Amino acid sequence: MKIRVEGTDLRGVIEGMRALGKAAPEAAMRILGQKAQDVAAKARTLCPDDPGTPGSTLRDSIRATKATRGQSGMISAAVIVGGARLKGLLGSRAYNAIAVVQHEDMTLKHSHGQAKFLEQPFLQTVPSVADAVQAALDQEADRVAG
Amino acid sequence: MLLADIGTYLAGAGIGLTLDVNLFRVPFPAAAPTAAACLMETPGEEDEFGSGPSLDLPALERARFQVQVRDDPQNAAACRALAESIRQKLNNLGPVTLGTTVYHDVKATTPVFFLGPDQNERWRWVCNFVAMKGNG
Repeated sequence: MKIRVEGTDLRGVIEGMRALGKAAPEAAMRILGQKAQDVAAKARTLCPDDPGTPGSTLRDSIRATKATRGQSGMISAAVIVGGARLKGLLGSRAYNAIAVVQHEDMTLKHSHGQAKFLEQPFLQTVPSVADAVQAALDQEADRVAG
Repeated sequence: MLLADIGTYLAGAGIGLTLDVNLFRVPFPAAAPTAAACLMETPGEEDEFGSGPSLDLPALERARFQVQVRDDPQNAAACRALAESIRQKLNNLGPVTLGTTVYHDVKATTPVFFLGPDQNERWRWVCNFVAMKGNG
């Protein structure tokens, strides 16, 4: 049996993914997890790191979560800057404000890095996700078909 | 040009903004007043192209920009209100032609949020936007 998941027709995609069973969402989760890691790696490179600022601490707080699948079937992954890890490194005083200001303040001058250090790699990566998931599903379909 | 188009539109929107007086299309110039707003381009997304020849202009651009509003802390409420007025004038705008460019839509990607004080202790509120527009 040959199963092919086509991206041009939503019903076909759904039927194809059903035929693949749990291998389909696992493949999609694998790709999404890889893409989230890619975004996090690029964000670490772009993260401001100025002398006398907690830049490297902020950079060290950037991490991608594992891709998860919710009850509705939605697959998601996240890249987080700040949060609990930054709180642990800097203490509770304004820890997330630092992340927001460094990301959003376009008027700051940085000796290394830039504002929008997370948003930019995210926007650059998003267009490649659908094709990568499609390729992974095709590969899985070929494997299932033997 | 995005910032010229949006700046001219906001200056004519009846919310008390005048280009190069209290509304700037670059990060605040040194001579800008304490109470002022500025527009800044931020990283956008890749263009959409038709099937035209090499170096054909994009059919659709997804440009992003940020509006930053600042004022003395004593005027915090007015400062935030201005940021909110700007957001209301831009969020879900279009289709409309600004300058010579068609803007299919402009949408706020965030609520208005507090960015904290700048180095001169002026408080700042910002909002981010994405514009789906024709070439120009």
